[in-house]
Amino acid sequence: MPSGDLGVLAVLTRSGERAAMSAVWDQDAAARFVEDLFAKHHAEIYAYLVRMVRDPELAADFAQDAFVKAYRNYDTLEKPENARAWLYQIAHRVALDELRRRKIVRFFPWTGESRGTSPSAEHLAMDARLSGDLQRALARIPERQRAALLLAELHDLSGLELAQALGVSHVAARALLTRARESLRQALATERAADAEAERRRTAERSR
Amino acid sequence: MNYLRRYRPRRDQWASPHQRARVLAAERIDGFVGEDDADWLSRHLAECQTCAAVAAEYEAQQGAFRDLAARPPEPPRDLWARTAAAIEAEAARGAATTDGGTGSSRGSAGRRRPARLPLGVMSGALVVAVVVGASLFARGTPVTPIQPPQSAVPSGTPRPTVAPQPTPFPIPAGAVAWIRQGDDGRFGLYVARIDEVCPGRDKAGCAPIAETESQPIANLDGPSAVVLSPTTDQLVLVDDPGDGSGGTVYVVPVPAAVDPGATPTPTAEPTPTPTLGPTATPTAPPTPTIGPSGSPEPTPTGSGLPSDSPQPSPDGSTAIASGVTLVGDTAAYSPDGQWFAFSAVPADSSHGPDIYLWHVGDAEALPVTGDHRSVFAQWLGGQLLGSRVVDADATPDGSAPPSAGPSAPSAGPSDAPSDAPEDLTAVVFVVDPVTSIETVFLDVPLWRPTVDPSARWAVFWEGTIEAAASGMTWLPGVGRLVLAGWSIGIPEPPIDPSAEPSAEASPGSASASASASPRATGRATAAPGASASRDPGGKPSESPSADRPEQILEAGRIADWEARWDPSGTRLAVWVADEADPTIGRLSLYVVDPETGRFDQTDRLLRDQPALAGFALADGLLAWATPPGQDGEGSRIQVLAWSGDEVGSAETQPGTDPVVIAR
Repeated sequence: MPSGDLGVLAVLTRSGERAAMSAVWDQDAAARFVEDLFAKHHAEIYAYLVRMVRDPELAADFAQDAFVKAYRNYDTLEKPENARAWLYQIAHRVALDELRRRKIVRFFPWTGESRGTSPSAEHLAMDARLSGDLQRALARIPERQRAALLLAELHDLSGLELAQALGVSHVAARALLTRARESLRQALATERAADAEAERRRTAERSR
Repeated sequence: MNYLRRYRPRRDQWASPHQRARVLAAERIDGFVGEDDADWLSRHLAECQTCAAVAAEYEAQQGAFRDLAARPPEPPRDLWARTAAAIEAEAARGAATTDGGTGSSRGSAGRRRPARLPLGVMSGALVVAVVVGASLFARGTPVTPIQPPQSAVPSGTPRPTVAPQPTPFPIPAGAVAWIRQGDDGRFGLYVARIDEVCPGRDKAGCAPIAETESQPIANLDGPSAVVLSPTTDQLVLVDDPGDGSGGTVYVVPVPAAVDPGATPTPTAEPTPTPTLGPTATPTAPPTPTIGPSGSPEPTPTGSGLPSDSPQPSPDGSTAIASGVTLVGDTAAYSPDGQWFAFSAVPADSSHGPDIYLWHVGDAEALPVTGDHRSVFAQWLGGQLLGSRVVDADATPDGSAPPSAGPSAPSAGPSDAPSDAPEDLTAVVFVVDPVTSIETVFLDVPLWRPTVDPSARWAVFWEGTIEAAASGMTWLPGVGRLVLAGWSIGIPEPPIDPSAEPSAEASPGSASASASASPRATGRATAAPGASASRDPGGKPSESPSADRPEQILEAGRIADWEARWDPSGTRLAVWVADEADPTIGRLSLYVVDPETGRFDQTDRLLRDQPALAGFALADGLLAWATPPGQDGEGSRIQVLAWSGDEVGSAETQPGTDPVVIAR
């Protein structure tokens, strides 16, 4: 359960005892800190990762990795008020690193019903969402641009948080966001053109 | 907010007012535009319909995102439990970094180290074990995996190696053989006979398995895998110095002395001479046209047995491939012992995996695929069964651009278009070893099926596979390992359209049949039954039903796995690699009802036993090596044996070095 250890961390930070604390790296404190982070943010972190990688199971793995990394790097968070953006940054890097490092082969029959997650309504709904024009278009644009759009539009990160999460300067973050909007516009146009073409073919086949 | 102006081109630097308008329209969505620019934009949009349409599309994006935001995905219910367990494991690892256990590392995908695969990883290992089933005693008789060992047990059984202290009971004779480094630093082949074991899994008080060196093997750097031929007169040994130069695959003759129960009865089958040479057989190889990168220099195929190998090699051995890294642990002899298949990548990582085939007596192994995306799964009905990654939109013959294989880790520019995961899928194909003709057997995306001896059930991976960090090969990602019905049976040998015996075909004449070329992967003619197997549900057979159930062996993320059936088809051994160190994993032995394909999860003969990569499964005998460090001891070989309802076990004394068991 959340233990509210962020407060303790803040005191330590402000009093300059951070270095001393990190020297001994209190595992219990780190664990409580991550537990608190998890309680507050796991749903949005998971949602972000699902939208980035478009795979619920993979996203769950990445979310888990992100919190483990948060635990491991607990002593690198300088300002507790930045914990959310810091966590997004970790999750973002996990997703990007993995996406770039691996070419992932998707086997379509797999329904992802492992690990106690229900394959029924949840995944059907997910499939429906993934099938939307927007999701398909998002999948077509570069990963960093996709991340910028998701974080700004769906996760309400402020300009500063966005920059931190993406690991770039404010200027770069906003430039990235602007490019992302244009990329998405073009990708949506492509998707819609493909939809229209598919519909035209279906109509033609029916009329035969 | 105004700091953007310092970086944005001035008005006179825009390529066109339309470009400026589009950038501003996008920035306006996020509130980045100052008053002056906003005024200019409004005026421009009022005059330019095209730019106004673009601006409207930007605004429409926001509406679409709002719809998406209203339906957030629900995280899995067990996410915290998994995360907490991973953090606990992380904490434990930090507290005891010297612990050599096999704790879960599920939370460490970022540190995943899948580049080194079980078969080729233990270059530093000083001991390599080969566990041989009862077939070792069938010397002189071509033994197929289906043959019951009882029929091959010689009458004069040697003295038991397990002392009868805790009331041992007899089992059908089997043997355990392994290679390890002796006190003098050289490697040797050791054999132990197993015909009595102690009841249950309690080996306390049970005399250890005695080991006897049967044959020294010189000039080994770091043997990493051994596979004994069904005829027990030779073994294939992978030696990898671990310096990045790649491994060498040797064929080593096994003297009759290894066989403690040898009954050298002549058989109709020609038995290769103990000292193998390139000309030991007149049969021509399938002559694939593509050689492996880094493959050995073609050995002259002139007359005369070579008195020594082209390079320093184990005594009496022949190097059939070098400069390669074996992939996976599926390397195997064909049931008739005439062929040996394995998957490998070149040591220089220049491309992904291909399947290599060696015919007994030939000078070298040759690739039978050239797409660099194929791995060997098993022998099935005398044919080679493989899995291949293909483009999802490729033609049904499974052809795909070789360049799309895992030839190198993807490392494009950060803003390069991402690789859509759906771009790739997989097919199962068969290759006739005699003709090299390949057919797509199963155009259904499942990975590395392991079919039972009756060809009714199969274990396969259903989920994602991923390029290893090295970019050299493919590993399972997230999904599940299932046991399901296999209704398409055994592939029929393909009909050679040339109607000429392929053994007579030269590389040039082989081109008459394009399918004989490794690059001409997959003929349009699918094997019988394959078309019927195109099940949208993705099962290798018709949709699972009550009498064709599907059961999950493992689910989630796994680093690698290896599954094997015993000859009776009633025992299924499954080894699952640990994510942090894929040379170590968990070994389980399931009891499968051959009629229903069902197993009882709660009634495994062996459950998640820590084991090094590589194990041996014969009729009535499973053997594996424990990871070093367990119980504070070195690695040791353990044996689980069963006969009727009785189950017993035995083990060697612990050694000091890691042990890798191969078949």
